[in-house]
Amino acid sequence: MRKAIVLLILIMTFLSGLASAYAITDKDIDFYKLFENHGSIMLLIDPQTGEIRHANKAASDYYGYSVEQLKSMKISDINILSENEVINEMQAAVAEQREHFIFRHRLASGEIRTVEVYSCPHAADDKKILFSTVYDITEKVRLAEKNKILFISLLVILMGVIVIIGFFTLLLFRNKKRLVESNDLLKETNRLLHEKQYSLEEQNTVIKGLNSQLEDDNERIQQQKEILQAIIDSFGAGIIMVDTEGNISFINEAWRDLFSYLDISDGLNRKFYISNMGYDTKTFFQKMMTGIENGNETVDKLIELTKDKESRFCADLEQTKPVRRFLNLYSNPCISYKNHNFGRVFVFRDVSHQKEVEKLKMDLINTVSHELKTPMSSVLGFSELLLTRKLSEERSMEYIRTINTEARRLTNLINDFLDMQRMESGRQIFNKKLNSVDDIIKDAIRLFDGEDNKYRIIYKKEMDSSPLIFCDRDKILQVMANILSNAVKYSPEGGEIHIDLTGDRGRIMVTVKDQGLGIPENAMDKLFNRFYRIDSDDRRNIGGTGLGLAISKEIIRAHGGQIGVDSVYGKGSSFYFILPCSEGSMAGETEDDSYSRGKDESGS
Amino acid sequence: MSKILIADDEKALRLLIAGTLEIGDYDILEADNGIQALETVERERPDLVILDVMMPGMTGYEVCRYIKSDPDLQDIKVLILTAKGQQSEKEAAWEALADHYLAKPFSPVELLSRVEEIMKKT
Repeated sequence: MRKAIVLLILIMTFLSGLASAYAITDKDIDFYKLFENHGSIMLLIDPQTGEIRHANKAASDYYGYSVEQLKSMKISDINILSENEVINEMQAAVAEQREHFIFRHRLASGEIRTVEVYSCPHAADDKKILFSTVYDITEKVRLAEKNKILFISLLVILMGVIVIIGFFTLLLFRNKKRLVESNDLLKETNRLLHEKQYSLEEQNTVIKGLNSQLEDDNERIQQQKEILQAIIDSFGAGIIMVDTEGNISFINEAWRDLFSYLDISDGLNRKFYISNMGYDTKTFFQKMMTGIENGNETVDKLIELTKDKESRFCADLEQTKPVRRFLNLYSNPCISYKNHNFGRVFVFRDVSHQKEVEKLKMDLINTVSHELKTPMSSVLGFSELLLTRKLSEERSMEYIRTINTEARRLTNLINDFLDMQRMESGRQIFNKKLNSVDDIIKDAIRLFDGEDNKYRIIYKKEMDSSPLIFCDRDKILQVMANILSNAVKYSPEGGEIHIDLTGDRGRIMVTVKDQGLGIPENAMDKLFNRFYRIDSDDRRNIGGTGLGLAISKEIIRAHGGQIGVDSVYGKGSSFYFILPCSEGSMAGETEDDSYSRGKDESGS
Repeated sequence: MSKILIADDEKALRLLIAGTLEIGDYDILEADNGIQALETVERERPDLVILDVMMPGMTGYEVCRYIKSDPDLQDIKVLILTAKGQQSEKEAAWEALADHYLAKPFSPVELLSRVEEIMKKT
């Protein structure tokens, strides 16, 4: 295109020279030839009329007209625009407003081609001529159109693609956003869950700790409960608990033992908190009070107490059936250290043994008071007489002797009590030496010499030697004296008292046989119990502390021996004691000596 | 002269009572058991019988009851010597219809004044 413009300028210069000089030079001819033979289509057009003034060979070839034919044609014959339209267009070129145009030119063949026209005005012969160079751009335009369509198509496709990509991108973005959001949410949830889990784990740990503590506490409580239950059960008294509603809520094992003959076990299916007993409290009390003296009154009192929140109650009950015994009952309100009232407890104790001991003590006191009062009366009475009266020397001496005798009697009694106390508490000291049993027996007999001539004491030593025993002489003498005194005392009608000394295999046996009252069968096993005295009409008036045989038993036991009695009630008694004797001291014993003794012999 | 029977199995006590009463104008009789006491009562008809409770054979109460149940003997006064301070002894003495009782250990002065009092009434 630039070449064309340069060429056009050259031609324009030529034309202007042509016009100015009008005389054609050689140079002009060369340019003319250039115009004529130029490959580009060139036309010279009168802008006023539209007539074609000149055309080159290329134009002729292109349009299909000869140069001559072209020179006779108007441009409007070629241009598909109307004549006026063409002239208007050319005016723009003449005015040098435009130099480039796109037109559609019709060829001689009738074919219409798109052309690009460069026009510039040129003055010649006082007239303006348009010099136009034409280039066929049909193919170019077609190509351009084609390219344009392709471009647009591509553009459309591209846009479509962009839109799709954008859509998908948007979608993706949106999804991504949503996913991110979801992810964030999930992360947050996860974090929260973690926190929760941690918190739960913490709580779990705490709960586990608490649980373990509770288990420990529970175990401790169970243990304490068990201990309390054991204490209550092993308590040596029957316990009944009545709640504030008046219902029996608890019974301990000792109570069950105490009232084992009551068939109420079916109702009491559990030790603690008996909810279903099968019968009411009053019926229960009535069953319990069966065979107890004034039982009905006691039941009424107990029922009254169940409604009483303050009173303390204590009673001694005597039961005659099914067992003979004494019960002590006390009842206190059951109030905890926190001042909670749980009802009332009734405590039952079998006090039969205490009662028996008490009775024995009372008996002892009666015995002692009687035994002591007789000599005391003498001592006090005679001394008073001596102090208040003028008496003959003989009478005074008699009184003083009596005082002395009675005072000794008192001393012996007191010594008996003290001996018993010492032996029972294990504080008695025995001064043991080798002593001849024979001598001790003879000394004992001497104590009863001249007592009363209605008794006859016959001593028989059924062995040649005089065996030695390792003993406290005074104590064994005491035993002998006690047995002999009993023989005298319980033979009110008098009679013979036989003392036999026998020996065998390192032991000696002393037997004292009387013809007295004898001992009832039921008294035999209690005879050596302290303070025991046979309570029968025939001996009620025979004095004694009830300690003599108990003391004798203790003494013999302390010497490793045995003491016993055979008796036929009403015919007499035979007391004996066996003691170990010193080795070799029985060398002279005879084979015939024997302990073996039957009831007949002992009772005769 | 008033007759007084002393019944006690304890020789010392008989001696004491007799000694106490010897300054009075009394005829003193003695018995060492219940049966002997009753025999003496029936034979001698004393004005007063002093009875110990604890005696072999018959107790003081039994002797007393016997005397008081016999119309010929019931006017004879009876003094029972009981153990001191025991309610049962005192009651038993009254139950046996004894006229008087004196608890052991007694003072001879008290015994004498009691006996003198009883004798004045008879």
